[in-house]
Formats: sequence, C-alpha cells, structure tokens
Amino acid sequence: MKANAIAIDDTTAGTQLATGLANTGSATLPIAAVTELAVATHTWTIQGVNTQNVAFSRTAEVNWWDRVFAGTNANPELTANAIKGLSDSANLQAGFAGTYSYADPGSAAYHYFCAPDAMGSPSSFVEASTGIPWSMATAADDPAYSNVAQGISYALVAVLNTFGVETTYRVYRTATSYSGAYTLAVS
Amino acid sequence: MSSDDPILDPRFGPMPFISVANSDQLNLIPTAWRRVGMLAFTTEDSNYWQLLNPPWTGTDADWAPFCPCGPGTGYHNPAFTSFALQGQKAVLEVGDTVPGGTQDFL
Repeated sequence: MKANAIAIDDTTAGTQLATGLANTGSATLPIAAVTELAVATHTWTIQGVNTQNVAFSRTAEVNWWDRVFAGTNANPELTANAIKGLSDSANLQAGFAGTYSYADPGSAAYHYFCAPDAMGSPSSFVEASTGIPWSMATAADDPAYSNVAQGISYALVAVLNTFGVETTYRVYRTATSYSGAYTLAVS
Repeated sequence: MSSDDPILDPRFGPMPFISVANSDQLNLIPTAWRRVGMLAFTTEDSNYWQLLNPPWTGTDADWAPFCPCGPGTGYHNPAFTSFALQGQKAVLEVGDTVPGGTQDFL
C-alpha cells in the first residue's frame, strides 16, 4: 500500500477526521460525541491507497437499537414499567424475529412479548419445540388488545427507556395464563 | 547496464525475475530491462512485485504486489482486516452516546 496515505472519515457526519496517516495500526483522533434518539447507524471509514492508486476501505459501525422484551406477568395488561420489568429477555435487537425462553413463573401468568411498533408485525408465535401456535389475546379477551396486524392482536404502550427516549411498543399476550417453562419462536 | 547483465545475457534471453534491495532500486530498473509481468523481489521487506503494463513512470505505480501463495491468487491487494473504535460497543440503546473527545481507532 502507498505510504502515509491513510484517511479516516466520519462518514455519517460527512467530515474528514485525518489524512496522510502512516500504517501504524492505530490512530488517536478527536471525534464528536454521537447520540441517536431513534434506531440508527453511525459509520466511520478508513481508506488506504494501493500502489496502483486504487483506494480500498473498511468501515466501523455503531448501531442504536431498541430492546425487545419477553417475560411473564399475572396482570392482563402491562404498564410501561411492567414491560421493562419483563425478565426473560430484554436484549437490544434490530428486529423481533427470534427464539425466546420463558422461565416457569411458578404460578399461572400471562406470557408477554413486547417489541417496538416500528419493528413491524410478527406473523407467528409458536412453541419452538412442537411448532404449536400460541393462542394470543384479542379484543374479545381484553379491549386493550384491539390493534390487529397479520391476524394477531396487540396493545400499544409508550415506553420511556433508560435514556428518556419514548418508544411505542406492541404488547402481545397469551390468551390465557398458565405456568411452566416454554420457548417461543417469533417470526 | 552492462552486457553481462543476466537480464540481457543472450544465453538466457530476457529474464522475468530480478532481486533488488528495496523499492527505490526497483523503480530504477531501466526500461530496457523491463518485461511486462516480470517479478521482482525486494530483500528489504521480502515482498514480490509484478511489473504492470506500460507506460511506466519509474515509481511504485509501475508495480503491483504479487502474492506467490498458489495458483490463481494473482495480484495481492492490500486490505484492512479490521477497523473499530477502541472500547466502543457495536450496539447501543437508543438515546445512548458514543463519547466525544480523543478516541483510538484500531
């Protein structure tokens, strides 16, 4: 590669952080703080030039995602704090699809799955090991679950996250409460 | 250039390989000695180089790094194998912050 020809850019901001760097394996540079208040990706790019003056590059990304919550609760509806208290899963995710393990609540409880409204609509909730569909609550069970997408009913609840950002969550609930450990496949 | 230079020695014909000390000497190889596709070895960094098509400029641009790793490997193009902000998580919760100030890119 061509000597002293490495450049580093803040691609998302459209600013050049450094040029003419030597290939030393690291560079200490001042950058601006980055805070994203919605799902986003921030990208920095390093670029070099080979001996034929052809540029080559690689990017570094930081992604901002929302949490997807899964867990059990005996109440038929959930407040924002109750959603954040669901304890079986609270991972930062780019999408809702996945497999979620619910611990045995010890007594009858509803099984909840909560994902940001912006993630879209699950079309299937099935018990992972058997493929048996879960029966999810509808407006007939509780008026809070009056929204329907892909044939599955859900409630909408605004949730403030740790950083004070409000996100509207879809709350999906099993039609009945029960105990036992289950693994749910959501797609 | 001398008549007993191996590259021009009629006993061998044009030789497609030469060994030199470094890229400076590589770039000093005269046009008469050059053969498109010839390989050169620089002892200073133990790299192989392949001579590209003319026009030649007497600079590094005349040569491409050559990887003698096996059949079909062709030119060896440089690449960054990784790039990241040191200590920075790849995923943050919405509302969280990548701190500003002096940061190390690795």
